[in-house]
Amino acid sequence: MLANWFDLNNYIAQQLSRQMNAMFEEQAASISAWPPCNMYENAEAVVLTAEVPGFTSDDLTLTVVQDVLTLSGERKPKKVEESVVHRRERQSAVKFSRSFTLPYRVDAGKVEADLKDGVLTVMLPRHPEEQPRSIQISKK
Amino acid sequence: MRTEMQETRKTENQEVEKIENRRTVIPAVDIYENARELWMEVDLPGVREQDVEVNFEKQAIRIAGKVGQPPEGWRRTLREYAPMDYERSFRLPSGLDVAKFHAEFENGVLTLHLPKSAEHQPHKVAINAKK
Repeated sequence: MLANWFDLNNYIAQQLSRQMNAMFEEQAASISAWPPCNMYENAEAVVLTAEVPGFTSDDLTLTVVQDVLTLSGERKPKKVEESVVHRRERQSAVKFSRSFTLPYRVDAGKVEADLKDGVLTVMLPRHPEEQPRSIQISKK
Repeated sequence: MRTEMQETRKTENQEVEKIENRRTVIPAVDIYENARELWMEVDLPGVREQDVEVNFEKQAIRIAGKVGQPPEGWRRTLREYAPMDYERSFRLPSGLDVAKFHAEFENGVLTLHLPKSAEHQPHKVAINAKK
């Protein structure tokens, strides 16, 4: 066995500092949940991004019920037979499910999801009935 | 020894978008070994294939990847990760066949194959039984 791997950086310390950064820059989010997600919104749409390296689109499921978005995933565990494991830091869980409450009702028929380079991006347009409307004030 | 590189790129709206202070983060790595090779699986979500960089120099392998910008003009309501560039180095053990190193990149995961040189591969020794 060829041992003597020398990690020229310190993974654990780095990971901590990354999470701290995310926490202090804005509100503290639950950082233990997997996959890590970000959500962005404006008046017209909500965007959810999730880091899911190694997952294919067939492994992922998205559902929208009312104002709740659920992202779940399942993949077959990888077969690593007759091998020595020197280091295992990547997410090894093969099954997950996370739900998010959306800030408003979305048009479920127009939701678009795109998986690229291990990042899932879900675009959820606001329901037309919930679009903010400006109301003219009539002069007498 | 290479340590964390904290690269700061100044932008016009630095106060508004703190995320523009680009930093480098260490990607998660799995390392396996079998009789023929060592292989590494590196999570690089958000990196395009052309932005993945692998260098090998002086028995050390360096993996780097640049991540795209987060969407602009949106209010961020949930934040669990900051899109950051990746960089990590390993000193490799001896006994590898450098000329045969090869890599694949799929779904944000880089797989590096590091085959062992011939003299480190197991070969069967025939035992001649005397009768």
